[in-house]
Amino acid sequence: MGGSSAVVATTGPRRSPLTTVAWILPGTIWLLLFLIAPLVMIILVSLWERTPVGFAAFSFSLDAYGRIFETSVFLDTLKNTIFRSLLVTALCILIGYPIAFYLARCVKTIKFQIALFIVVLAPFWVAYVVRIIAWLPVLGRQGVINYFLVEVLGVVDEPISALFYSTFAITLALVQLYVLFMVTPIFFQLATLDEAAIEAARDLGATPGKVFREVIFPLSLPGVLIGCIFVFVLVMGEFATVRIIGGGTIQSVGTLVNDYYTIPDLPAAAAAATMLVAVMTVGVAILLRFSKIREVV
Amino acid sequence: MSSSESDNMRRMNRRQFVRNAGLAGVGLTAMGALAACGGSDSGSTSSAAAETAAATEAEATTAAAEVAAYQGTLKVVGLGVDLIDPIKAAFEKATPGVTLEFTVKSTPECTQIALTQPDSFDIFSGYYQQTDQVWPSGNLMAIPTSAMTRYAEISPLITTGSLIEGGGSPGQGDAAFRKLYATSGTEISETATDFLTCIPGNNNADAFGYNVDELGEQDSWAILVDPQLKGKVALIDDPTIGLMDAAMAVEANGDMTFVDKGDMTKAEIDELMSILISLKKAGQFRGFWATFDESVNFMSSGEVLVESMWSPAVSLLQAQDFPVRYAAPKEGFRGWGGGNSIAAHVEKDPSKLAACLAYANWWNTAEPAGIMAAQGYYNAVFAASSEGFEMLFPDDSANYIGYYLEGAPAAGVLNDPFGQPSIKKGDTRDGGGYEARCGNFNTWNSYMAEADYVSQKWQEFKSA
Repeated sequence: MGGSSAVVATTGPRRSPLTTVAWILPGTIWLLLFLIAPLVMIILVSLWERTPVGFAAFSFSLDAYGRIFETSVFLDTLKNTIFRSLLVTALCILIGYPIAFYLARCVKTIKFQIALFIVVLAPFWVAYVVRIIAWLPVLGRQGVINYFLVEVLGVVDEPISALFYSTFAITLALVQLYVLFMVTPIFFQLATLDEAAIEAARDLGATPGKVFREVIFPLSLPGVLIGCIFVFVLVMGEFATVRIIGGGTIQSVGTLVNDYYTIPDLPAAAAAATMLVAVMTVGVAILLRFSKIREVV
Repeated sequence: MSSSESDNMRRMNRRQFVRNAGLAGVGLTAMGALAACGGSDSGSTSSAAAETAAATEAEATTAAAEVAAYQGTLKVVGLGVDLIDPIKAAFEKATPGVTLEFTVKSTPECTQIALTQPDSFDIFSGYYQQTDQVWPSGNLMAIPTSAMTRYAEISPLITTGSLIEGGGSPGQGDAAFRKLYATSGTEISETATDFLTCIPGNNNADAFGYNVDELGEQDSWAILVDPQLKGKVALIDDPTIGLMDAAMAVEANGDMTFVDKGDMTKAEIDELMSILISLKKAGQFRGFWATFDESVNFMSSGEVLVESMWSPAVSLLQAQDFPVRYAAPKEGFRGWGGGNSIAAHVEKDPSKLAACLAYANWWNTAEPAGIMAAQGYYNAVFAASSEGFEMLFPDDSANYIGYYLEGAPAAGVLNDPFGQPSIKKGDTRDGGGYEARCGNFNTWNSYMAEADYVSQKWQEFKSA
């Protein structure tokens, strides 16, 4: 009976519930296997006891959380990571919005739009680690900037160390790595704005500034929000950039998880990861709550 | 001409030996003894195991032919300095049918793999400071001394701690002789038994590397904590090594003393860490490196002037004419050593076990010993280092042996094993020859009883 209705459904214009299930199934299985299951596993491991060779499954204890909160290292690092993520997200909006605006509203032909968008994407054709390491010849003690400051301009006597292996360098590199995740959703939002609303505002005598403030910007907010979610979540979980650009002297929750993992203290690594996921979930929930994204979209 | 021909002959002979004797005979001898020792700690005394070993040895000769030569892949996990392409190529050429699969990780990552993924590798290319952490897991197997081809030739440095009877300082911490022997698959012995934790490969006397153009000649660990070098110092991001360097620096600077740097008390760790944390907050440390390449980049980019360094990194930079020197600290060197251990799961597969033993024993032959010796390492079978120079540089071996092993000035330009000039004519190795360098250890890379506490404090240090 179910079989015959499915056959009818695939040939007919309306889908039966069975076909709907068939469409939903692959995605659901995917999410269950690669999102929910690992998450459940991480939470479970964080609650198991540590042994020299990993963990003792199903012997529950909260010791791992006790260990990560035993000193102030984890909490301080978590605070720093949240601050860094918010800072990078804000910088990505400041830099990414004008780029997206220019691409979507100022470039007139679609051909140029696509060409310039590909240019914006260009850094992503280079391997992740290469993009990170490439900052050394720019910001290093013997890098281009220090060369100009010391040799050409003579404004400082000694090369400035704080340009690299520093919080500054990490922030800069993260903005460069992730600004595209801000540009892209804003670009698509701006490119698909309801032109009639803008026309109407102009007809009613609004100045270009006012059109932007009262029509374009509010309508582009869903794109900004999606960008914020991308950048915030990606930076919260970062460890390779922090490790390499920080020269090992600066930590993020990601590098701490990696440290716990290599000690090896797998339950502590899982506990730190669980805390990270919890904070990210709360962060995203706050973003969604305050923006009322569903109403705008 | 004829001398290089005879060299080739010798190489062939050694290779044939590895193939025939090594693959079958040695492996089988091991098997019987291992069965007695196994991973069990049910009181299998070494003498009982030795009897079995002797009995099996007799059978081995007749049964040798029964073990089919292993064909396939051997998975090796270890460091990037050891698991290099020339080593892989040389072994595969010497052992047709066997392919090596190298997994290159940092020391702490290797330890972690040995502990938590014991079935993912066949051979653990490890170091003595990892033994205390890895051995009790039973994930590696005790190797009978009879399974090591050149056991009788191991340097006394590795077996007893001193090159000359009663002479020299063996150094504190996880010195080779304290971690080489096992009483069972899970217990280590600080005195000789009939079982090895690994077939010993390389060892060396390490120090700090420094930019000699900027700093002039340096001979004290104290330079790592010299406030004048603020922001120009790096340490290795591994407490079993980096903490040793820092401890020697702080001690040399007169800031504190230790009873045993290889096994610090909690109070000592606290005191050392508070000194290091205030130094870090003042900006002393430019970085903590995790990989060999990072240490090279730190130095070559001018970001640091002095750092924990490994001998191949120094020799790589010297080959590029970079003014880096490897110090001979007056307080003594930081020793290290290691070898190839075999995963416990291999025990079930006699032909694979034979192949693993052949690989581990191969490290004490001329070619690999030479490749490592020309980067400054010593082979546990000391004679293998000279044999390596004779094989790799047949026309100039005396010069290499003189510089690297005897402390003589280089009579000409010396190349690294990859063909790049690395040592200039007239240079003398810092610290001198084998006996001088390996007779003056301050401490060895060490895993302490308070290791968990060290890890916690090390994280605090890195986050400070």
